[in-house]
Amino acid sequence: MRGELLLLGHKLRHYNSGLSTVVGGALIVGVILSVIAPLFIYMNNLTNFYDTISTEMRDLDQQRTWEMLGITVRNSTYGENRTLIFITNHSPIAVNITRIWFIPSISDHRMYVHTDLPNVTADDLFLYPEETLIINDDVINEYIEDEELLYDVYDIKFATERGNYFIAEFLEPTPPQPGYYLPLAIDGTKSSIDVNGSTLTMDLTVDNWMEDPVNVSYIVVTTLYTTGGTPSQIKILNADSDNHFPTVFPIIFNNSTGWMWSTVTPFVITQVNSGAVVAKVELVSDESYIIGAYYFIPN
Amino acid sequence: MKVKRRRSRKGVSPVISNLILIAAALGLGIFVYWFALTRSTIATTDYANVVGTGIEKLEERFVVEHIEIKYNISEDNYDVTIWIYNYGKIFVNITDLYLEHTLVNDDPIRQIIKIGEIKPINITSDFMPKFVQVQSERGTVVVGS
Repeated sequence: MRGELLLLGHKLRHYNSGLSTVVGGALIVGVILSVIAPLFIYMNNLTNFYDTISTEMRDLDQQRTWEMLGITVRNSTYGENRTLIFITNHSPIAVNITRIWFIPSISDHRMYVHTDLPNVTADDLFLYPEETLIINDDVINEYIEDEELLYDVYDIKFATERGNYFIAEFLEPTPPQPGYYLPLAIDGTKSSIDVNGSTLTMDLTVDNWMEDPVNVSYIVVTTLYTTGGTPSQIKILNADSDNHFPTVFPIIFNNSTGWMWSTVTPFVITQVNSGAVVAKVELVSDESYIIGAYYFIPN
Repeated sequence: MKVKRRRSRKGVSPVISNLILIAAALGLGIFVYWFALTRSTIATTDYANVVGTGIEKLEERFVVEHIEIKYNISEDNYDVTIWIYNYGKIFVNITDLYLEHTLVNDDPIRQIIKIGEIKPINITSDFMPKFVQVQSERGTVVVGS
């Protein structure tokens, strides 16, 4: 009997010798399952999330490069102030215009959102591919209260939700139609313009050949392919008389920022192409009609 | 004859030794588990921080939408207003501003721009800058002109 018990005890001890191995293995498996596996799962999820965000942002960047708005502004024709802004979405995706910048040459730049535009809704500014939005001067007159902005030389910039902005291209005013005439005849042949970009000496002889006096309220000097100007009160031109307009406009030239008229509060104007300055002078009546125009072409 | 009964202590030491072994094994196991858990937590946190920073930088997008420069006659300098638009998916903290290559601010600007928001930053310059560089806290640099 005693011998049998001893044998049983020996067997049990023999069996116990493998127990720690099993427990150790179970512990390792437990550690792997409870610690290391979640770690890898978490890292994998994080990596997948990173890849997802990366793809989203890459798509955003790609869509941003696709955005293309064609914006043309048909500015006032001679004798009447009509402004039409044509905005066409040339991109393959819808474009949401979020802000419109009006950049006058002499006054503060102004930013408008759609809520500033009484006749334009947010839906109007959401353009589908090849859709065109036309903003006419009725709308402009409503939300640009300052008349100066209408008659000043300005740029218009449209900013989109994806962080692009597009600057409007200004088309030249429609030339006078046959049978239509400007009341002021301007002779600017005594003027000179320095091609090297230092000074525009404007020497105008203005002939009012109408029967009535004409009140010139503004003189707007514009460099073609660039914008800029200096409105100022001029004088009343008597009927059928010559008036002399000697004015010198020194120009500060900067290779990157463009041209700047320094006789008035300076402002930045955008030079689209380099080369000789071709300037245009327009005389504007107190009724905001362009009543005289002259083009300067460098010698 | 008085029989002296001897108390048997033969089974005590194996029990104690077994208890010690069990305690040692448990202690070692807990230590291994704790060590693995701690290391994995640290590794996870570090990785999450690295990836999180990368994701934040990925989501950061902003642009210099507009710059207005006005000449101040009385001060003979330029008032420069820089409009920054955040079109990304995370807020932007603008810290540094360069006019051309000149750092304007001594201390970080810390201008927070929320998602979809546009904000102006006004500075004064002695010269008319040809371009500006805006740097965010995350190191993104955007040039505007």
